Amino acid sequence: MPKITLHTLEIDNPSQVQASLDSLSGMVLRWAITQLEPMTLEVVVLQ
Amino acid sequence: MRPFTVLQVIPTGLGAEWGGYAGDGAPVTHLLAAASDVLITHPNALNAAGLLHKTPNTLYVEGYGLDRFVEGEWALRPVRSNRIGIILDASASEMRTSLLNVANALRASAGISIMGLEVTEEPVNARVVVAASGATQGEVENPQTLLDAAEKLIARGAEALAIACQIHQDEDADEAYVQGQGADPIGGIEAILSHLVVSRFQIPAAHAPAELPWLPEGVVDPRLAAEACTHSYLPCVLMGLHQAPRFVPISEARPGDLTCRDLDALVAPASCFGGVPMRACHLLGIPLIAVDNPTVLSVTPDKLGIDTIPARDYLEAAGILLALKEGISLETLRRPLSSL
Repeated sequence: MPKITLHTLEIDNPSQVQASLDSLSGMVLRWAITQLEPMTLEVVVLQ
Repeated sequence: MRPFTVLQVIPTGLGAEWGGYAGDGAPVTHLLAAASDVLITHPNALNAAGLLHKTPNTLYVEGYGLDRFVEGEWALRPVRSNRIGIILDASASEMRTSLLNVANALRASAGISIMGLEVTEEPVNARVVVAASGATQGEVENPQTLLDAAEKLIARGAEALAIACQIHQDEDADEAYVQGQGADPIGGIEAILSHLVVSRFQIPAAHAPAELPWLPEGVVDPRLAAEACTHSYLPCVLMGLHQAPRFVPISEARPGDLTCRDLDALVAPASCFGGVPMRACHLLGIPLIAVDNPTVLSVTPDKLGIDTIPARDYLEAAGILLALKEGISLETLRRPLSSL
């Protein structure tokens, strides 16, 4: 059964956002950079 | 001259000083709308439980649809009205009668078209997750049952969907929020639930908690008072969806539809520039007005290498919009004015 889950990823700079999103399997519903040090991406995924 | 079109964003679940509580972003939204021909914003900026105040030139656009709009994938098609269906989480099925009374009240008093209510076959099991950043997010155990209910309502003619789920959270999760000091614990999961439905069906949707609003002891923070004086969270969502623009794939856009190319400016809190609308508008090259509206985040545009026009508050942001609208150079409005 599909579920919606939160993933927290560290990136080096904003140009890595798309690659990080692409690395997740499933459909990205929501994402944002929420911290700068370390630069952190919060992603909500349906998978 | 084409309409001066502005996008206002106050991201959900971040405890924004303006717009982080219960419809307390509405006055500043009205102000920005007065400085625009068309203002596009999202439910979090306006939803106030039993109340919703929205100017006629303000478009109520769900966040996932807003993301697709700014990224150039979807257009917005203004409508005179939508037929709204209501989805109720099976785990709050005892609220069915109460929500039907709300729906009938809005049909009878506001002329809103509401076509029915569907209870999910199983509990949705949506729960709050507070991320390390302080942002409120969420997870959902059974999204499929929500999608199944949505599909049934759409098959019966629904053009927009109001979603009412039970949100599971720790007992003391909203302790700071009800004191007017923290992020709304359910803000993030509410956005996720509507994102799910909009992403699957490409129709307007918004979420309101299914349960009864909390009953305060004494006088509450004014920013929260809309939740303390109502019988249901649902009315604002029904009022917002009533005339929410529909989503159209960009390849099917026609004259009169709005696309991201129509945007003239973005207004957003300076502390949360790490989201989709801000990045997309940066790439579009439109003026970005960064307002000093504190949130739990500190993701400022300067640290992301994004140029913005800073504004100390929404009064200044509205002035900046008026200057942009009228073609008045911002530097000529400030002193000292340097010589050429």
